[in-house]
Amino acid sequence: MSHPMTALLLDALLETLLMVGVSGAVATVIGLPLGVVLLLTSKGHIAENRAVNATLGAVVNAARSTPFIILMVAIIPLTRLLVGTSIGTPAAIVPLTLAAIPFVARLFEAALREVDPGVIQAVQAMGATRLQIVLKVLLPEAAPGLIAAVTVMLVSLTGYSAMAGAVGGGGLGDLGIRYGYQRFQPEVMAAVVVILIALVQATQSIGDRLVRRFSRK
Amino acid sequence: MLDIVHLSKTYATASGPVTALDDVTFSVARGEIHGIIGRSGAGKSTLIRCINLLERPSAGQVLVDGRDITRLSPRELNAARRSIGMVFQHFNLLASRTVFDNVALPLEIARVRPGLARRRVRQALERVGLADMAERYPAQLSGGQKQRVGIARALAGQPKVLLCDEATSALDPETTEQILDLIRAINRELDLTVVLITHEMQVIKRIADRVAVLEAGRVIENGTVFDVFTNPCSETAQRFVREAIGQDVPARFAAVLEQGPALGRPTLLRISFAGPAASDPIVSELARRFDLNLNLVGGRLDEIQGQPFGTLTVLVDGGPAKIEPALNYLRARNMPVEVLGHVPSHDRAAS
Repeated sequence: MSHPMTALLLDALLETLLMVGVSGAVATVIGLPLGVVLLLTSKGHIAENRAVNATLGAVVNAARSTPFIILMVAIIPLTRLLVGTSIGTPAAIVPLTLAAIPFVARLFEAALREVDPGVIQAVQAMGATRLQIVLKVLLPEAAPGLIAAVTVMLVSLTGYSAMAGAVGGGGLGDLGIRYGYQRFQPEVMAAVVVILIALVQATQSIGDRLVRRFSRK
Repeated sequence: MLDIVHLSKTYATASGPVTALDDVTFSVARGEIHGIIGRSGAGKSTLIRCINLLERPSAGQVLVDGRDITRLSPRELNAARRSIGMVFQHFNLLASRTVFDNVALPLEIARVRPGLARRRVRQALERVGLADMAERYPAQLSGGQKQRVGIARALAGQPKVLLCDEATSALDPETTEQILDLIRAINRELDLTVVLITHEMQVIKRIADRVAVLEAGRVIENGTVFDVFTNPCSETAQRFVREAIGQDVPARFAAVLEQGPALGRPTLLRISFAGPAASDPIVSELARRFDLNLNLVGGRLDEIQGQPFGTLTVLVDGGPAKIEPALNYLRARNMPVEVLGHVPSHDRAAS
């Protein structure tokens, strides 16, 4: 493979890392409180609130059921508002983040639900406030599950980022399509696939290692 | 220290309202261990959870040190809960925290300053004999050790009242005894008021001072453990007592026991002893004084709250005319006696 092609692959890899990294980080920051609220307001939980839970749930479900390619085009005005342009890597980050938030919020909710209700009750009996319950019990106790959720999200985002080519977002998937498919250079396609596989493997094993480190069971 | 006043709890379910607690009233004095015993579904879990308002009673009051905690604001309630420790059947420790940090949790929640908190945690761990396990995680501990951590955690907040929710029900018999003895020791040393719920009379017998028997959400019997053991009034209490001290009617008699008139058949009696009377030579006295043939078929001697207590099951020949004066004699001497029934004469011979 020629030298310029290596440079192209490297650039594409960095674009992918940028898209996945930024959207993953933002989605985690927004998705975690969302997951917490989804859990706490659910039936029988410490801040049960049917209206809030049903509304949030509906929004999350709607966002999750919109196909990513459609979401990407549909929110172009928002993208332009947020990053000033509707094409390029930064423009791809917006829909990626927006797709990842509801996805990871549900994963977080499920992970938090695994915390033993007895433990929550024990802490309630100690006179803990809701905030203390979340910060001192729910999040630390669910840490392994939360990390696993982030790992799943990052792997999914890596896949979604391949579609970012539709808005000129660049990245590995875009490179593979443009050179490998449209320019009949199957070796580029193969290289892209190999790199993506390695990337996903690395993400997964780092995630698994972190889960083990935080797991005390 | 603790007064439960006309407490009721009703749940709304799909098939209509269900009453879990029905006008429950009792008091627990400072430094006392008050046991609450009941079958599953009797409402004992609901009752203990109403004491720190993990469940809201539908009606009634919970007075801790004279203060009605059902009327407190959420903030005041959280403060009040800090003076009520709780120990759980399944320990409910945080898996992500070490033993030390688990015990420190109530102090963190109460925002006790770190230096003082560390001292209290160490004290609490020493009291339960786990000072050398401070850096372990709950997953590395046995059930008994986990419950010791649970007790240390409850003690760290220096509570006025300790609630034990089936604290030994998940433990093997030997560990159960150790944990009960630990609770007893803490109760004595700290003059700590303890409320414990259980379905095992052995637990009550080993450490409680007073006991309330709960059935279908109502307190059907309430008194000192000694009184309830020696003179259980309700059917449920009688069954609990029998479970704790063992079945005293041999199976071969229990199978043929009949009620109704004696019709010349031998009568099976259960005589209970309590207190100083337990050492009287009652069998030989009855035989001599009333000219009865007494055949000892079962018996048990035990100690409850430091006082001797026992039952004797005897088979007596002779009609009501001979037996009735003996029964009156025993009752006059405050020795509870029950006529269990009659057995066919050939069984008399077989014994």
